[in-house]
Amino acid sequence: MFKSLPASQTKVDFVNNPESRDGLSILYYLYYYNGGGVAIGDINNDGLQDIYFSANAKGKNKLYLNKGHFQFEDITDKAGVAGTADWSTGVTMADVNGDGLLDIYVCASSQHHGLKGENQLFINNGNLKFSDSAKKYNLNFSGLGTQAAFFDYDHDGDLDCYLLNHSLKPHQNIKDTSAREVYDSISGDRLLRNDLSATGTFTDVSKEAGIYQSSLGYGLGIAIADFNNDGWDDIYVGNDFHENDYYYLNTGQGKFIESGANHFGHYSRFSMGNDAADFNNDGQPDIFTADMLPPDEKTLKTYGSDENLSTYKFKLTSHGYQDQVSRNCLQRNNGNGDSYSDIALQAGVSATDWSWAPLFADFDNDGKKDLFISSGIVKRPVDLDYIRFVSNLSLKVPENLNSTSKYDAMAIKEMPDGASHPYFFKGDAGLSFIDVSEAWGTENMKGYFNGAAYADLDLDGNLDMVINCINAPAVILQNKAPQKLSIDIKLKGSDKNTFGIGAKVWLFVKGKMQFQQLQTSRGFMSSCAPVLHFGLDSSRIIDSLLVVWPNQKYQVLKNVPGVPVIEISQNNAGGVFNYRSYFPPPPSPLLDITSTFRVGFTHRENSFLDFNKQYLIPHMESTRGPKVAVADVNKDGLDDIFVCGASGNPGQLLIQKPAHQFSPSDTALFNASRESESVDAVFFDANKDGWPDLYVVAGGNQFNDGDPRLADRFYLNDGKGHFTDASAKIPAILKNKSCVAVADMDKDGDEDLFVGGLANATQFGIPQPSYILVNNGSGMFTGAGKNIINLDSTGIVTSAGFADLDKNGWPDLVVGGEWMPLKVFYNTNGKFREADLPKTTGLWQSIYPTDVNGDGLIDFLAGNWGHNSKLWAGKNGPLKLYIKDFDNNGAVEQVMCYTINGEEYTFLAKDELERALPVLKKAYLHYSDVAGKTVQYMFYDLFKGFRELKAELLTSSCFINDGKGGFLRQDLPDALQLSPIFSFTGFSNGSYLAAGNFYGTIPYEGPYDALFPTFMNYNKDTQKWASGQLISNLPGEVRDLKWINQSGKNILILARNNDSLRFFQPQ
Amino acid sequence: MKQILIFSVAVFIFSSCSRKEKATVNPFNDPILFAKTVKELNNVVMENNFSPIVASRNYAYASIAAYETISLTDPRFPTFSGRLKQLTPLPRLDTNGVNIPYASLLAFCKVGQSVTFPEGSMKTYVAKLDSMAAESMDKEEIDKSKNLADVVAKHIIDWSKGDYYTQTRTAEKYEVKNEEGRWVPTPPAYMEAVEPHWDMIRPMVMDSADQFVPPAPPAFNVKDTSSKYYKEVMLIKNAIDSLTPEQKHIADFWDDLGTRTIVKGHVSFLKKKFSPTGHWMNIVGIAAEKDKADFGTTVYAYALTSISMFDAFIQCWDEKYRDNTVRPETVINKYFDPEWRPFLETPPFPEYTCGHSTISSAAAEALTSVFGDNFAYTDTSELEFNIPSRSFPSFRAAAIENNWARFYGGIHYHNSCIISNEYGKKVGDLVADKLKSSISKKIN
Repeated sequence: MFKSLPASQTKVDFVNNPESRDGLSILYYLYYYNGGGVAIGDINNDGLQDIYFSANAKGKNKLYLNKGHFQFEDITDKAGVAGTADWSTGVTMADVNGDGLLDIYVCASSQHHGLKGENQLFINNGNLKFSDSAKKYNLNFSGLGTQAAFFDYDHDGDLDCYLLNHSLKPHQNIKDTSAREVYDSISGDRLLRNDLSATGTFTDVSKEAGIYQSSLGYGLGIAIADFNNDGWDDIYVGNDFHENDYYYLNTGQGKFIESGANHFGHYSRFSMGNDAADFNNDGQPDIFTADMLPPDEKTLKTYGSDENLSTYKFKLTSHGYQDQVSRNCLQRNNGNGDSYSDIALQAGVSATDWSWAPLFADFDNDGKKDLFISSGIVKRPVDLDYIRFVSNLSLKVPENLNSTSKYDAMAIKEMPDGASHPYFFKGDAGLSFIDVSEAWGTENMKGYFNGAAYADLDLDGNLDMVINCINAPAVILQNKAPQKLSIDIKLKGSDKNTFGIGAKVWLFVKGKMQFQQLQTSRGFMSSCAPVLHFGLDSSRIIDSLLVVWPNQKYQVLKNVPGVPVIEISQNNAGGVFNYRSYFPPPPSPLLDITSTFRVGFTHRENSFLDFNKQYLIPHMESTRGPKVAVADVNKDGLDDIFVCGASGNPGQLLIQKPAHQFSPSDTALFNASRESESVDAVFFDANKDGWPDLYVVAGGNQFNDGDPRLADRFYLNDGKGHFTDASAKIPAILKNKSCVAVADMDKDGDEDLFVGGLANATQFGIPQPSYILVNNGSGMFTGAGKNIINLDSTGIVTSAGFADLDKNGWPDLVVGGEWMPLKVFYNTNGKFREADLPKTTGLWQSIYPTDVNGDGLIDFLAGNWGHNSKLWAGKNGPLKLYIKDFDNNGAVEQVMCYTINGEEYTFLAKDELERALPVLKKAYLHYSDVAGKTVQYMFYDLFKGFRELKAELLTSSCFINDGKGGFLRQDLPDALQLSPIFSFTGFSNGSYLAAGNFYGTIPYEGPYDALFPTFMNYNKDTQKWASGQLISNLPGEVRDLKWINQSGKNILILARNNDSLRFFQPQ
Repeated sequence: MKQILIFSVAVFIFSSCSRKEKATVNPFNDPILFAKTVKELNNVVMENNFSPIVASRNYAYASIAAYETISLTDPRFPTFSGRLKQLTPLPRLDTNGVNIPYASLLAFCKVGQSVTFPEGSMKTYVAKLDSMAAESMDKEEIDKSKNLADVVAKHIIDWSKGDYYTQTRTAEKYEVKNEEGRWVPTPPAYMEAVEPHWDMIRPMVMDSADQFVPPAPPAFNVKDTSSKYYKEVMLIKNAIDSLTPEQKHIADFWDDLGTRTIVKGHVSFLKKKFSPTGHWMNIVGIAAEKDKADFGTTVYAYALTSISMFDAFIQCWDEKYRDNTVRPETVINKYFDPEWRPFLETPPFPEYTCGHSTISSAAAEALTSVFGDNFAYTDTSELEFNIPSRSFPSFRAAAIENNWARFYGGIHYHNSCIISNEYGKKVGDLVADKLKSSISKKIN
């Protein structure tokens, strides 16, 4: 679809050859290979888009005039825009002085390594000549410049300037985030207000506007958009290294408040360029941040993994930084910027190697935005074998040769090549993208692709690409997509913002919406033309088009013909746009009434890290709480609850009082087992006295088998709503367990129990027993024998439920867990027959029996690990877990592997595995020896005699009961696959709410925080699931959803790990 | 440098084994060859990035294998069995027709290989020894020597397996907690705490890891300017801010951080040096050569020194993870000056007590017992890393200089080093006494 046009044809002969001399190389300047930028805009208003390139060498920037038909003329010298800085970086075209002509602003990296120069503002004189006026405009910043963005942050009708800067200090010694307040003269960002009309210059307002100006800011990406739909443009800054990205919300009163922690679960760790655009056509600006994760096994496994969890937590979170993951993030805006869900893994866009410029645009004009990402680095310094090599090199080279050109040359020569290609991903306006680099013709373009911009260069109705490359001619990609309709919207501002930067356009065609906001600085060190390009597919008429200008005047145009180009003038706009009245939020099915409740309980997880004890356990098993049990224990008509507690922070019985109050009761009783971790609980009438008794399951994955803290507790209700410990009436099962379910399984008139076994706290993966505890009718329980059910090595059980699936009148049992299939135990006359559901091995977290389709047969929902995971993304075979004491040291190791094209690779890199298995070094010392090789190769003769566990399926699913002993599995919708699901609940209208999230992973896997409690509905006619609304302001690890009765009203309790309870009322 | 070294060994081999000397001179009965062999293991250990503490284990077992071999025929050096914890006597071995020095070298290499990576890490070197043997011995003698070396090596390796090393590979990791005064990972690598369970390793001579428990360190206090802790912090902070060239040389000379992390943006690499034990193994070679010690004495000196360091590390690590004290760099960055940097890279484990001072003192006692006190020598070990040599009037003087070195490095309070020296001496004295031989000198 794209054709790379040679310089011989286009006359665009620009090459970025970074200046090279002693003391200026990748060994000294960490951003030596970041490359230059591209700015596209029509500098002479002839309707053709012209191109400016910046170079990392003095006087080498170029301006090309577009003559049409992909013919360009180098007018750099006559225009006087070659630049005087030693090292130019980002470039932006904007009409800075408001005269209707695009000016050119070029940033410079200077004041280090002997580099001189300052940012330059080339004011367009209108005769293809420019004058550097940076000093006059107070825009001649000199320092570690990356890129500028122009926007009207104060709605005064002119363009203000945000200067994004990077930093130089390696920050070996991590400072805490209070260092953001420390001003740095050459790094840290700046905001300059346009005061041309008053003072004739720009005024630095960084401090009063609340912009961080410290050397912590490794700014490599800038995106401006009105993220929260309040009419004021906000700022997203991508920061490299451990500084998290900044999310500055514009208060509308001249101030920005960095508010990322309230809206983002995590960011890219090594944030490079970024882009803000609405990729899923919901009218909300989303954010993509590029990082460095390699897509292929070989590079990935020589690249170095993240720190272990404990070090990571110390370096980042305990110094005040937010969570960050070393991969691209696609942050879906969940509505008005309330929250963002990083869906990059599920969407298939998380790994594009050493990436620079991401750009959303509709390249194939189908009305759905696609994604371009430039990528590649000349030398890849993070290669683990290279690090080993340099380390040995320093031994071999005499010290006095260190830091000399000869040594440097040697060190650089051995650094591996990091060539990549420009990526194209075709979007579906949903949650997935498909890598079409091959089909669209860029996969074989090997090189180092940095700044990039798009524009329709030949006026044929589709977007072409321009890319700035290192040591190679700039790439011009002609878009030869099959003809589809499109429209370019030009915006004519009425005041000094002549190109209407910041204007928003919503476009409605056949019930579908597209949305864009005009901002030219995008991607990486580059700017696109001030034109909004919309693909219309085959639609010739735009039903309606809404444009809102920065001053919030707006205009609606109806039945707009889909001509190639239209211009909309701000003069025709009026009124004051009110986003919420124009786009009213749909009524939420749930009203958050938490603030009306008084509850003296917050779940507090204890600090135990499973990875410190079992180095290779796939993820933590110690943060599965809290679950909630519900019953009216004192029969006052108000449901009471028992909330489980983590070790050291005991669970509580909370008695509901009128006026939305819960009071702890019998605390001394429950505090007696405070060191236990309670993981599930259930109220049931054990002794048939008509009063609910309580069974509490102990687990936590911290205590070894046999530890008394693993004993479950059983409490009898005294008939007054108080409890006494009756644990002597249950068997002492001193193992790490997970769940409990209740049924009268033998139909003898009393309630029996199923108790699920999780894992041995030192031997994860060895299948554990589960138990049926049979009630003797008076609340005394004994384990069921094998003649009733065989649960000796059921597996790693996490969830279970009783339901009469086969309608024989006897409650059957459904059991789910990790690394095991879903198991159904069919009950006939109190004896169980086991039947595994075929092809269902998974990482199951929750089971919810319910009649989904109303056919009278009980179906069930099952929460799995989901798709937004490194365990799913790019894999196409079963996930496996190999269990064995591979090195005979008395400890069981777990080796998790995924499958790609039939080959199995270890999830962890060599160095991670070697922590637990140093013996692996015996065969292979070098990373490249095993990188990209199978687990069988890596483990050589050790790979035998293991226990193999599988997870073929990570999809959260619905199982429809066919009434004939079979179940039809259906995927839950994509929106429900964003995280592991820990709980479901049903609503009276037939819809369901699902919730989960899970943070107990190693940093390399990353926290699962993208799922906000989400509704879903089953259409009984089409027999299909559809996702519904989500609760966008409710982050956290949800562990349980339970209904309580409160004076006849139903109230939903939502319980989160290490967090407070939330209460909701259906509406 | 490493390649040059191998080359020089080869020259030595070829010049010393011409055929006409075959009958009269045993080319393996050469203490310098033994020293070079230890150095060869040193290189492997260095390439393997072992932590200094694990390195001590590599040297000890290999040296003991060499020693047990010579003890078979040299009555000056009776077996360590019965004197090292759980080491049983070798099976009855026929030493007739065995080239004992050759077998001793082979046993050393075999055990050395078994504890390093990759498989056959010393294979090339052993092949050189073998070809040298082929030049000077008949097949029967070679076979007998090899068989004996194999038996000894296996005996030592089997014994080593009971030291709980393998089990501690998967022992629970150090838990990082944000408590005042408690150790946390340090820049630039922020590595996790090294070997938090080394106190579980079986000591060789000490009765237990806590046979010698030092006094508790000064209580953490950064508020009261008159507190001992505060004064120690100020002492080190001010010292580092005004180091003299001589002080820097001393710090560099005893740096011995197996791998130093250099971070430049996305680029980070390791710069390798000896470990502290590697450094002292080199000093053994220097002393033995200067003293013109014979083969048996040389092997004994290596074994004794490596054992004293092995036990000294256990003693020190037991204390480190009893107190879990925070490093000066963390304290100064957090409470006094965020820009302060130590002169050396802070090693990844708690501050109190100082490992290097402890093992240096223990090694000095061991060497003093072999070569005597006031044994002046010039330590040329660091030339390999372009650090000028230093001369010492005695081993003990070197150990005392080490106290200052760790302080000038900005990584240990001087008080800690002094106490470490004292407790290292206790361990070294115990080892020298329990393992004394007929050549041993009285040291106290």
